[in-house]
Amino acid sequence: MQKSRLAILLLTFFLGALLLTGSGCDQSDTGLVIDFLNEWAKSKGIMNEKGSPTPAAIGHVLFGASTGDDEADAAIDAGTVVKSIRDADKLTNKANVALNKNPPDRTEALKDLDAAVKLRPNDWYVRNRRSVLLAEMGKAESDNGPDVASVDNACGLDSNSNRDCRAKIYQDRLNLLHESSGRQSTGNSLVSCYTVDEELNNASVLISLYQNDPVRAQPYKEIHARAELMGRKPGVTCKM
Amino acid sequence: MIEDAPSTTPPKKKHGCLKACGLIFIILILLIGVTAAFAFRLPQKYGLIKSPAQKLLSGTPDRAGAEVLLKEVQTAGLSTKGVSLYVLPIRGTDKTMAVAILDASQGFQLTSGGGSDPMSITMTKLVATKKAEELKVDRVAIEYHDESGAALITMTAGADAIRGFARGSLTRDQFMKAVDGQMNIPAVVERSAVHF
Repeated sequence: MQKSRLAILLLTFFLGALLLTGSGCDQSDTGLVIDFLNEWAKSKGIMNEKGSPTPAAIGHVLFGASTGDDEADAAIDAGTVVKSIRDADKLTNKANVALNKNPPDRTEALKDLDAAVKLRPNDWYVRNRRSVLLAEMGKAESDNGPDVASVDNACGLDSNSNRDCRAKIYQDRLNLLHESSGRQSTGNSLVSCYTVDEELNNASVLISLYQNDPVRAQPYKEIHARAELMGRKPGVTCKM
Repeated sequence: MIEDAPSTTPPKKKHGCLKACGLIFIILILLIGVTAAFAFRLPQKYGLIKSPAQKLLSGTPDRAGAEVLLKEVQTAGLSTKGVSLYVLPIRGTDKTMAVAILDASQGFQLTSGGGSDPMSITMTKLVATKKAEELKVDRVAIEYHDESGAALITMTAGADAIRGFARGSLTRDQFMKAVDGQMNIPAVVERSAVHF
């Protein structure tokens, strides 16, 4: 009861403030936002024409903005998702900085990418970066690579109708593997065999996705052939 | 014997009432607690239940698409300084949601786009581009942060309603009814008080 009373008091004050300030006289940004809120609250029946709170207002204050529509509710609450994306992107950028050091600080980068994946477990953009780094470090973990679940999650189960979506994920990964190879091969060093294997696998997937489109499949065939050559003699042509 | 009986029962009754009242009180407290917890979305806050946003929007955002969309919106006349745009896939559909964070603390100026109704104009510009159609933007959400960085409001509307309003097939009142939102009440109250 006390919470309800507090909410009603708060709302009355808030709506009163809106009514007094929402006259359109104040054209500052905040004033414009409050004007919009004022109009919206009246339109939605949260506030009546006299500026008094309606019973709907109490529900609005107590239960937030639950609309009964999941998509609208998700949009209202999207800030939490956006925050996780921002935080994960910051960590990904930090990992990039660590990898661009001379020599690359892979341990630091992996720490950042581990944290990013923890924040965004279904985000293939983050997962791709982590798995490519793992391959670069000569590690093959069970979740190495754009695992089927995360690709299905992004593109749906029907692989035929989502070719472009799948291709985008594997193409991103192939680009990262290419960058990774460049980073590893500075000073005539050999590239990790895991990286080469992953290049081979990703090129294979892309070739199969474009099996009916020879023009688009061609660059992946070339990458596949090159990777096959690089991985021919582990320990000699690539680093074990 | 008959006289003894009433002398023994009253204390029992008192004891029973205390027990029953206590039990009812505890149940009431528990009920209020559970209701309050759900009302304030504590289970979602502490990760016990997934929020609609976590259920529907946890997929990989289209970062490249959002960049292009932001450029197109800028070309359409919206100042993009202090604007972060995210294009989130809506789970179970092939559609997306455009979420724009308009942050005055990062230099965003609502009034820079001109017009007396920049909130609606911003929503319209976000769905009126070629890229928005290509990305199948089905809904727009706008979160406005003031000069101190505090989020004041989040407003959302379906792309159809926004387009309808822009075309004139939806009146302003109909459009407003199609808008859903949430406000940071303490922050709005504080800002409103400053504006007195």
